[in-house]
Amino acid sequence: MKCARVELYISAMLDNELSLKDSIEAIEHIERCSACKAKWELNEETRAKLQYYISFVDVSNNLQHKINKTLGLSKQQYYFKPLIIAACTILILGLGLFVNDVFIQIPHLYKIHNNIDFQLISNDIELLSNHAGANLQKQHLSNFELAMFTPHGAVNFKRPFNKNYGLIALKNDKGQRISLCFLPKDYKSTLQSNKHEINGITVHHGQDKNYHFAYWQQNDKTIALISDSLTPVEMINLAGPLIYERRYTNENYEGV
Amino acid sequence: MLNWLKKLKFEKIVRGNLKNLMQLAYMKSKDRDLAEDLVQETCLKAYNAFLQLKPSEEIQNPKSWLFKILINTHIDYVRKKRFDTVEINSIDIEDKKDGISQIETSHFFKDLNGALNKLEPQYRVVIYLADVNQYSYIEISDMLGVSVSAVTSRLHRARQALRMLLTQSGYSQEYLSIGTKL
Ligand SMILES: [Zn+2]
Repeated sequence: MKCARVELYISAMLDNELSLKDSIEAIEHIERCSACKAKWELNEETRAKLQYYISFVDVSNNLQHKINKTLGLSKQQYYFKPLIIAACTILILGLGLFVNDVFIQIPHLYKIHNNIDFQLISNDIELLSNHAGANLQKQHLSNFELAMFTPHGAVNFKRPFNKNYGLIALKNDKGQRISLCFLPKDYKSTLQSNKHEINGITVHHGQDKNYHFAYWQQNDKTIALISDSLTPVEMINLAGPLIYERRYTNENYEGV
Repeated sequence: MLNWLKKLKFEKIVRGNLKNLMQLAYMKSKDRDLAEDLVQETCLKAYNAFLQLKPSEEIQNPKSWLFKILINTHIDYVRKKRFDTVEINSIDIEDKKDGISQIETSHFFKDLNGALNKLEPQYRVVIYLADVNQYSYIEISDMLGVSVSAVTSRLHRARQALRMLLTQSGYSQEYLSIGTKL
């Protein structure tokens, strides 16, 4: 098989659109020909890069707002008026209609912590933080680093009413994980929790079956920590710089 | 079906696919403002079409349905030359922090972004559909309204052109390996 033909095949093979017979011939050629191999590899790598690149293209609040307005879909209508939702639910149930997952549940903390396919695995906190829709700097995680927990991955996933939920996972070499969640400001767990005041911020903490959690409101978000291995007190201690950030924004806070 | 129920269903479809629509529009235009206009108009068209659906009709694949509308909306746009007269909206501070400006300024993506800028829009779109959304050639041919063999050769030419642009800009193997580590 000649290089020109293989090049034609490379693209189709990448998309799984080439017949088995042609694929085998093309692969045999690619293994022998460094020029075609380089093309194949560059195509494959570019695809991976592109998928990552495009994940940064997101919907701005401005566009969201414009669409809501154009279509008469009011974000507030569903966001701020749970009564309307309740009324709709009752109405739908009453009518005996079943609307396939129109109403999505607010995610359970442990589900967020435990059921995540990471879209981004990296040690680069800035990258992870951008991806999770959070504003974190390296020094905010200094205590976690001292405890040998390093940034591991991040996801940004949409939940009902277009509120963004982000998560950065921290892992240590024993495989233990702490999830650092960025939730909407009005997030409230249905779990029983205790309250604890730190620097004027109320931290809710508690435990469920096999994990501990702590969460608090900070700026325009709720930050939640979830761990299988650490107690809430240990987690809050680690979270110190995150909580103090608000107090120290105008000073040269080193985050120790 | 009751209209408000249709509206809810439509809202769910749009919310679930808005990011992908924005990405496709961005790959079409490589301009955030134009992309946003395109998405907005697409949503409006889709909404009207959705309300017209008969009770027996169901959208089988909402994402490709929306993609198809966006692609056709873009064709209309070009015909009307609306892209030439779009005003640049003032960008608020919040928008400046969005992902697209990160792409444009991040060192890491400079080469890929530069190459994509130079690539023909139709090539960017077909690459986006195949590489990011992993649609089959038959699905892509349906969305673009061209034959499967046209999709095959367009993708081939698109990848060839992108490879060349990347190589020219010194998009080195070393650079690529950083990307795969992420
Ligand atoms: Zn060859």
